Amino acid sequence: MLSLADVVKHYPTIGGEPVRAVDGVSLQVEPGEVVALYGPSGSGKTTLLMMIAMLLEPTSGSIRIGQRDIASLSEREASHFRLSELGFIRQSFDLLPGVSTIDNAILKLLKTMRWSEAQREVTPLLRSLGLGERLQHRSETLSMGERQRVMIARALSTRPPLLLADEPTGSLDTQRGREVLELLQGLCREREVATVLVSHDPMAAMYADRVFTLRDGKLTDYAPGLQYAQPSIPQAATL
Amino acid sequence: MKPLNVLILYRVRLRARLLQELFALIGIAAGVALLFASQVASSSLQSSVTQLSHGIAGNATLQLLAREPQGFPQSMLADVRHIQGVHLAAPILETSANAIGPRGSQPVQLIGVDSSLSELGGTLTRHLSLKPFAGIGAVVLPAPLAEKLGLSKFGQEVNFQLAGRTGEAPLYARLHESQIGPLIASPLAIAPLFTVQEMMGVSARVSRILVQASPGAQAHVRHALETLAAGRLNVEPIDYDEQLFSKAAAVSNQSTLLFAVISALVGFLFAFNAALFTVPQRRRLIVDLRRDGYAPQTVIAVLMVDALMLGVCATVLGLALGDELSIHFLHSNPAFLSLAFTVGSPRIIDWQTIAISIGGGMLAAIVAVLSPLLGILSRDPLAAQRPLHGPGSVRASRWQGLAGLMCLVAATAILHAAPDAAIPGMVMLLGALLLMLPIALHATLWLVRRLARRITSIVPHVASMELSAVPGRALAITATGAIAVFGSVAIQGAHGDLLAGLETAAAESNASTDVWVRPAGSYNLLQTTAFTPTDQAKLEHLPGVRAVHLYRSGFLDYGQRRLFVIAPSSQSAPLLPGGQLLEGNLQQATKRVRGGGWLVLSKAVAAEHHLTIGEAFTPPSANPTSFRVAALSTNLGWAPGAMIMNASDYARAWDSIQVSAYSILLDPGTTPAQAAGEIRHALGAAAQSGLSVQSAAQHAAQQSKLGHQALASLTEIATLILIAAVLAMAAAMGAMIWQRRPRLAKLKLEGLPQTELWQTMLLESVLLLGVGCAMGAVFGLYGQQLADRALADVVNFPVVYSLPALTALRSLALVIAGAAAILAIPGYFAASVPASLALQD
Repeated sequence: MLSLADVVKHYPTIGGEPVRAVDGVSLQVEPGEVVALYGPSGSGKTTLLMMIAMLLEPTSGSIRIGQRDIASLSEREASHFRLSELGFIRQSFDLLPGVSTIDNAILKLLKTMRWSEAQREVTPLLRSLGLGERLQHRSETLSMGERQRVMIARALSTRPPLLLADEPTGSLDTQRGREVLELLQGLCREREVATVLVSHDPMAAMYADRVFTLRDGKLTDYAPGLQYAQPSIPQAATL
Repeated sequence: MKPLNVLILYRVRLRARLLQELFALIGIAAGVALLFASQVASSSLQSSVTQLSHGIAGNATLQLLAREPQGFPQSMLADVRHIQGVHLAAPILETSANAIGPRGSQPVQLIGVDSSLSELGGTLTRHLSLKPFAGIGAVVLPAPLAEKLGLSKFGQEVNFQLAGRTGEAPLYARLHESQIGPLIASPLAIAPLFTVQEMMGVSARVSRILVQASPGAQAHVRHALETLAAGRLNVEPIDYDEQLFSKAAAVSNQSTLLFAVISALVGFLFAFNAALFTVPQRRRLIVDLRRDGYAPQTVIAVLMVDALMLGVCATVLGLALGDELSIHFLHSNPAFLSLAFTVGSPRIIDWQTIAISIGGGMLAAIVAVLSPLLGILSRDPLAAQRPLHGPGSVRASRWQGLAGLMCLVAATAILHAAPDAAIPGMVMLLGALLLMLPIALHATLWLVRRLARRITSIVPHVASMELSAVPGRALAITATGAIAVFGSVAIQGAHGDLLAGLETAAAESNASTDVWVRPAGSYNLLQTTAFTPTDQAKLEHLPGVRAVHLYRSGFLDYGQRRLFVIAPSSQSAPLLPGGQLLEGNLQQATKRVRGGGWLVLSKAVAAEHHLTIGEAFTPPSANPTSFRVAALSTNLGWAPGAMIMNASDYARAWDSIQVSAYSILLDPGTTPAQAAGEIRHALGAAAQSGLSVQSAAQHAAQQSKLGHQALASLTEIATLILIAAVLAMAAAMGAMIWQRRPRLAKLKLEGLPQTELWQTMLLESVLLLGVGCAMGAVFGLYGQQLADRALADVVNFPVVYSLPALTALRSLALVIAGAAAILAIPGYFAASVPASLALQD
């Protein structure tokens, strides 16, 4: 599904060697597979995700989604790709305040579906995420774990073949984090979504099919003994 | 916290929010500027009359006033001086005139005085000796007036047209501000008493005697003067003219005041919008300080420093801007009033104007900065950062709606039961508008959401979600548009209705005449200057002339009102302006007035003196004569009121054969232009005869033009309010959109295309502006009816009621299109934000 071949991203510096943020990464992720990437801050994790999400152009190498080389997509096509073929989950919850759970979850579907159709589409997903009783609750009345589950519902609402998750448990406690990862893994397998999970959380490895470490822009096999400093949990961002 | 630390904290925080503070500063400054400029415009005229009155009269406390333009015998001066307790008495003969110099002509008040005026110590004579030019029949003029006339040299001739005559006098001196102070802006020409008597053709007559009573003798002197006057002259306090002017200018002052309030509201809402951008930072500061253990008082002190700094800077800037605005745009225009009062066009700034403007600016700054006050006072240190959603706010909005409805009911009650309370009515309407705005916005968003469900597009969904997410800010922007359009529609509408009414009245007053012959000069537009009718026979024999009627007119001081008295010849047809009658039968009233002993009176004047149709009363004319009321009318376009009688009755009541104009009727087939040439030829050159010839249509057009001039400042302020509102909303929404870039980046990360994000922002803008402006327009139309009703019922203006939906739509479309066009650019750039920004937080 997702295929990275020798992907390089260099940032030029004034009068010095370019910074090799991502240095020759090759990776294949199959439908329904969860791949976890570990790495310290500055290791190139976010740069790699940005290139996969077409937010950043690689210096060299190719990124293919299915049979398509995404470097050939125009800005408009890239937008469409992110809307319908990619799900993106982040540490912070980008929910609209004052708006209900279900309306927050259907945001991406509204481009192609009517509101009622979109609600019908997303309701089972929200129920499977344990939010069946909270559909009409405003986002600010939800707990942190519930908010992240709404974000997962939004990301998966368009049935994308690819999901990128950037520190999805970063704002949650251990118990809530575990629940979220469990749900994520189950849904991705069920819906055959190729998932790239970037995390500091060693627990994430338990829910991944394969685990890699990104260090100085290079991808290596995961060394379970190697622990990275847990980042301080920032205050939950609210919109 | 130590005071110095508060200041250091302020400086550090200012660096982080300089742009937002600048927005707030500009907003408050705009409000202060509009408030200041409109206050200056309304207070300058009244101050001008006050200054002139005190400038001439000095320490005089009473005056003996003539009731006719030719004045009363000068011999009465000796009688006055003989009254026990009279310390000083000075005679004055004054008349309106047209001064003509090499560079053009100007309407002036020609005042004849003698050296005794100096003893009263008025500003006019404090640094000016009247003795040197008393013997040479010369004239002195304020320097700006002399400049306009092109007079600069000693001895240069100044020509005067007055009372159908012409006269001339050499220029003795130009008076400068150091000599006459604030009177420098007054249209005065001072000449020796005998010179003015000669020019007017009246021998040994004066129009006023100014009296300074000895301490403690005021009551006795007044009584003695009343005995001397014997009911044929007026005995009044020295500020009588100010009182009359105040009554005459009340409508204009009230409408300017209303505009000032609306202007200030728009400006301060601009400020409030701007201040809302700094609210999140202030909320965070409050939380931090409270969490660190500072008491609410300390937090308030820290915020008060913010308010003080913001308020002082903004007020200073606002006063400077307002000063420029009052110089270049909002001139005080005496227009109609200058036909009956000596009013200059000065720019007088009194301390009340400055105090109100500073107070308004500081209050706006404090309200804007202390908006999270409840959060500060809460026992919970984190309360300031809590969002304002929940059942409490729903309950609050229900109460708001109910309060708004009550305000609307109160405004409706005022409209029907107490139209004289138009200003409180307008305030009620404004209150209703602001209170009902949240409901209107909520309903609109609900409707948009319902409609959005029927179409497949992300734009309306995201727009309604975004607007629901920031209700406070959305409301503030909506309120700005609503108030601006309300003010613009209400006042412009009433202004249009009043102008239409004035034009109708002017047309009716000219209906019985083809050509007017009257004393020349723009001061005499109402044809109130009397002259001796020596040319009637000559004019009657001109080819094409069917008849020459004598027309009399003048002013009558009755109570606190200077009434406009119209007296057409009893042969005129129509004799009465039918459209202006409010009560009474036109045919019967015409018959009665034509027959004599009856008059038509403005309804407001009749009500003030408890007069009804058929009742008799005696107006205080030069020869008090009893009349009966034939009908009640509008004020014929003259705010203090009017009365209509026939010309013979006027001659009897004023004991004078003088007339104000010849009303000439032409034979069928003769055009006014043809006849005017013949008439001018017969009268001799206008400059020699002092009479001018004008067709009735030209005269009506001139009256209409004056009406437009009188109301011009209202139009200017209405336009300024709309411009300020467009800029305020565009700036507030532009800043709001720009601040949303991180959120837009997140939406882009979700795959929402740039074009649709841009469309979303445009839709949001149109929704906010649309709701605000539509509500403003609807309430504005209601406000217009309120203003019309007050003008018609209370002041008796001839108002033509209308419902100018087109004008309202135009204002609405202008504001929406203007603000949306300005917003399209920042909206486009904001939508271009890279999606990668979402990953940088």
